[in-house]
Amino acid sequence: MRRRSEKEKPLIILLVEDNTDHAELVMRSFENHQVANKIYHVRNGEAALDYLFRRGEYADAVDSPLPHLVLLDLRLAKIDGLQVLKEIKTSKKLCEIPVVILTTSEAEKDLAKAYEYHANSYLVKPVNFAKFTKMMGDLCYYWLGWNRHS
Amino acid sequence: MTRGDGQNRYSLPIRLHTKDTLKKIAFVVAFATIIAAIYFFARNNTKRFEVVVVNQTQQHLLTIAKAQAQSIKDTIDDIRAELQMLAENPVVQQAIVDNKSTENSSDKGRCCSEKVVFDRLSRRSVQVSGLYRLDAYGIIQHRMPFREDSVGADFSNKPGVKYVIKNHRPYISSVFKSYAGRKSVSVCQPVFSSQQFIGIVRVVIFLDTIQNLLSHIKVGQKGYAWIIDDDGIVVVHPKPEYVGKDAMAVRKKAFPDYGWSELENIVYKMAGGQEGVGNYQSVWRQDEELRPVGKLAAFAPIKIGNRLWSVALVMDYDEIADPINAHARNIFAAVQLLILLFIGAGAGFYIVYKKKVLLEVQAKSAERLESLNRQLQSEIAEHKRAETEREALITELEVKNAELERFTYTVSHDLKSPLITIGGFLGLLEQDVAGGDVERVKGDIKRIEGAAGKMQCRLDELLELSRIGRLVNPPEEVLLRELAREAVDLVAGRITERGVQIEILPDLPLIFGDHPRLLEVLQNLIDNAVKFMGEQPKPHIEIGARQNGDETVCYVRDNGIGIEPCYHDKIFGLFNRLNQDSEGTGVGLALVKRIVEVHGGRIWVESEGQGKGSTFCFTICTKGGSEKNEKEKREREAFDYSVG
Repeated sequence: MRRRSEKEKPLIILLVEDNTDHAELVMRSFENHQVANKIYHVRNGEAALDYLFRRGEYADAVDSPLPHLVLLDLRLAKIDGLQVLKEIKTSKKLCEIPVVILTTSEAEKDLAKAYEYHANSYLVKPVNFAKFTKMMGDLCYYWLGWNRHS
Repeated sequence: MTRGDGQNRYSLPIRLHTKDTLKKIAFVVAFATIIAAIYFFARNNTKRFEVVVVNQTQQHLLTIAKAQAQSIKDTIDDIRAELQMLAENPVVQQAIVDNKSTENSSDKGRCCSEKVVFDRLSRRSVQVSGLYRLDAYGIIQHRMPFREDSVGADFSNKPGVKYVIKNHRPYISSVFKSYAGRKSVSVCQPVFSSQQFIGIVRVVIFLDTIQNLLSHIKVGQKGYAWIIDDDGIVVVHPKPEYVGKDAMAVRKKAFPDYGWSELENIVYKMAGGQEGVGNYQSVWRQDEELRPVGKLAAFAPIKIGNRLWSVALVMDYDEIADPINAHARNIFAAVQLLILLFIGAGAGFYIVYKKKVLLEVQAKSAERLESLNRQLQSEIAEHKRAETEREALITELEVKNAELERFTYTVSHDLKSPLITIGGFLGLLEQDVAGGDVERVKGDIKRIEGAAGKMQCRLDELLELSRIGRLVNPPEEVLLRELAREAVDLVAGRITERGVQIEILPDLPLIFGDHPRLLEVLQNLIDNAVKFMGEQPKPHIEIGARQNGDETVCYVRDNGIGIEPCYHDKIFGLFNRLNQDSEGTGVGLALVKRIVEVHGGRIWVESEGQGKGSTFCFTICTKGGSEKNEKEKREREAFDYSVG
């Protein structure tokens, strides 16, 4: 496996997920694939935007570095995922960060909206763990391995 | 519609128009015909009447003419009788023989009889100018009144004298001018003595005195009488210049361009001694203008001795015709006026009738139009109402659809979420068991259990939510104050734990609805209020109600963490939680909303924002309120959620 990131500083993922169980599933899936990444987890849309725009408790650039990838759930408390996506993609500073939607929703409406707001990818969480973990693996390989980012 | 139909349809008004014009023409023609008929009838009648009147007038004139003829004949005959008596008087005979002409006393006896006769004749209306006594040779012996210069004058060539000397018979002369310049005739009577002609007695009659006599006869305004003799010479005429002249010659000379044949015929008859009547055309000079004048004439002969005179009475034809014609004209005008009046009245009635009919038709049309209009308006209104209702229903349906969509979306997400957790951790469990990491195994199992419990809980809540629309307890009157107390009791544990002060306001209204459900509403709201007190040091909840127009608004007010206005709608959504760490599943307010809506009410939250507290308000019908609405609403809801 060709991993550009190995010899460089670790790649950073921002996981926006209100369900802690799901968050843990994601993180352990990454562990399984031994991808040396740093994952920051926030539990709602407001926190995600605070993190990305470095507001409030996320003001420190060292503690809260800008991610190379955002894994975004759609159904979130306070500000929902689509709104967060919109904010990211309309921000000059953040719009280049790839945003991968990771959701339980298979609704056409959500899919269409997500792409309308320039989501880079749309993934539906599989119930089967093997598939789940494979998806996470592929996700890492693709976005953090094969895909080149600025 | 076929082409022919169209033409018929459009040609109809033109045909009507033509019919109207024809009617008018027919009316005018009929009117003109009636007027013409009346005119000709009246004219004919008038003419006949005129003829009758003219005939009668002529007969009348003839009667007068005859009377006058007789009167003149009598007068002249009287004069002749006087002269004859004088001639037979021996004294007069002796005087002629003696040729006594002087006016002396010795002759008085002789003259006496002459004087008496003269005086008598002078007193007559027909004047005699003088009484002459002539000898057998026509020499004047004596004259009454006496004139010296007359005696001895030779009268033998005088008209009449000559005849008597020759024929020894009485004679009336033709017209001549007397010495005084007056037109006259003379009457001569031969005097015999012992069968021997010895002389003549003669009188001269002034014709103007006869004219005076005749001028008393009034026939009409311009009527007059004239007399001609058997030679056609005018003896008496109102125009003195005519007297002594030929009746026809004088006219023909004055007006040569006129035809005088009718008059000539009459004059001929007169000169012939006939009596009769006739018309003729004369001419009248008036202001240098010649005017033809129709005349009526009646004539009668006067036979006196050797002479034949004829008296004619003449009057203007127009004097008879004019009044008749004027009368006829007046009647005709009156008849015309009457007809016009009749037609005018008829036309008036016709127009009024037409107008009335038209007005009636218009009124009927207007009435019909009005009723149609009303019908149309009501239909439009009904249509609009239906449209509005339809639109409202559509909007409502859209809202419900969106809600349903959200609901299914939420349900699928919220049910799938624990499934993923279970599936995921089962996989991890397998790994961890294989790896022999006991702690992780325990954690995995716990996660799986939690997810399964959550799923159970979600399913229960969904079931509960779907029941709201279907399972309905019979509505009853509930005292809001009692209901609030019950609700507070149900949440008492949590209230005490958090140290919340509850205030239930007095004078709360009696509300109407499903008791257990309403209790659920209050319980949920109070519970929520307690739950979201935050760090409030003096937590306080107020339960009250206010009247807002027709609506009764119940509220639960707290001084807790409050809600940003942008979340005011979102909080009522299913499984919507503003804080993922807070207790509850996000179904409570959705449930409350459902119950309130099923009761025909609305629910909303009033909060100025974070830290400002919140007031949850809902409307509910009070006693006996819109039950029907509720029922309808409930039926609709039942439909909605049987799908959900």
